[in-house]
Amino acid sequence: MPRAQRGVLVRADPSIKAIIVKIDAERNDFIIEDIDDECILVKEDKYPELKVKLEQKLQDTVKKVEDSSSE
Amino acid sequence: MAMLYAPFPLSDRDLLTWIQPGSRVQKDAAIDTLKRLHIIKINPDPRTYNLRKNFEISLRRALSGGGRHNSFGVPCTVPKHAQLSVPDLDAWARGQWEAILYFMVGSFAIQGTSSAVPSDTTRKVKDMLVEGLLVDARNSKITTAGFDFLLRETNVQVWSLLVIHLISRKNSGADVVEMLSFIFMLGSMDLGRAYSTSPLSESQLSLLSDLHDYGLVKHSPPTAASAFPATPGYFYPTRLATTLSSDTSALPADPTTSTDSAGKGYIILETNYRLYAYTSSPLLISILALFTHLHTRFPNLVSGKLTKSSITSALALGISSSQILRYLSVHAHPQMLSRSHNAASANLAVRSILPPTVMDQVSLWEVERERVQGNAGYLIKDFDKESEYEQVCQYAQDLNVLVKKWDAKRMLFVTQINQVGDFMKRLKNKRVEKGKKAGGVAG
Repeated sequence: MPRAQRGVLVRADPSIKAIIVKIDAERNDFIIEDIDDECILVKEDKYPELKVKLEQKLQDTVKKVEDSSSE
Repeated sequence: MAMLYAPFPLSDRDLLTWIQPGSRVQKDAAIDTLKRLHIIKINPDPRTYNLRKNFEISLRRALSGGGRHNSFGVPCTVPKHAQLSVPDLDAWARGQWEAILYFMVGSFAIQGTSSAVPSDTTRKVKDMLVEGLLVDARNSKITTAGFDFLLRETNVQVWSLLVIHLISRKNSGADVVEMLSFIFMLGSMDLGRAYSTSPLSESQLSLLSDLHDYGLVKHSPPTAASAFPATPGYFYPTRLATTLSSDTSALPADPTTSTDSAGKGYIILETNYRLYAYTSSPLLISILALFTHLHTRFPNLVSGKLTKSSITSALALGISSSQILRYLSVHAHPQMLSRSHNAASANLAVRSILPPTVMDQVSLWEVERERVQGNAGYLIKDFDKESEYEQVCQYAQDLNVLVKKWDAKRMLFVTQINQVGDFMKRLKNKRVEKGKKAGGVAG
């Protein structure tokens, strides 16, 4: 019997997706279903929060890359 | 149309005979739209369609010309000295409308220009824009929807503002139907003619004064009875209003005002990201200031540069790179157009009015920021049979609601569930019936 589930489908590179999974691992309250390498189903009301967290994580990593390249 | 006078519901099979086999997709999409507009009702099993009663009655009346009168307004005569000419009305409407647009981008005004502009946008209009999410209330900055709004044609802008207005009035409990009928009445009025306010109802009068703020009508309230000569209230619809129901341009070109330069384009963008805009309009300059780093201003020219920080700050407001590029190419200076024309004759991409390097860089800046893509919708999973899964996938694709599917896992993601859900129920019913028949034969 088919079931339908409400949520936000997030599509991203495998690397970005890995970061999302990592964020989720902290509190376990974002992801509904881990579909494949590039797609995850996320709770609709949590999506904006996830985006902000991802943004922060990315900024940290990008800065590190820049630092290392300048040295 | 054929359903209008038909006494019986129309069956799915009959409908199929009307259309070519190749256009089933369009049929499904059309039915879906009509259902969502509450124009038709779908009865399951056997599948038939019929029109909703209200729609049927109103359309019949409209076609046969019956119904109540007054639907084209009541003209009224105005004392000679108070009469307004068409150019006057145009100028007034444009002034009001630009004031609204300017308020939307106003927070980005370059210092020194803001005082030059009459900020006569009233409190009420501002509240309206905030409520419609075109402007962010907290820091009074423009939003994505707001920027999209700016890029539209004036006619579309007027309509979206009216829709916002009606929604907010509805929330405060006013009679929207009367207001709507008044707006449609405006659309069919003559430009440059005065109309009497006396046949209007209370709620329509309040709408009238709001429309006055928007520049859609010029309203003169009735003079006090003691004054001589006592005139009844009257109003002039402006071009903004009379073009509501047509597709001609709402604000005609006029060399005396600044927005007109938008009509023929005023922006030159060079391959080194430098941008020159031949304009003196504060409105246009502040729109540019949303996504460019402006540094010099001359009487008829501003120059600036597209930088990573200026673009990302625009992106942070929710303005997309495609919106920016579209704005730049729509308002490109004739010289840029002619240059791209030459390029086109040399077998280069026709679409690139803007320098390709700049276009690429702007989109790259956006991609860098937006690394994830999210769609709200529904994940459908746990299909029992491959055939069922495939049928549902096909149906979702036909309806244009399918976002992505995973064949290996028998999952699909759709943006809307209503029709797909119905379809799945029908499939299930069919299967149950078949199962019964098979069981009967076996028994």
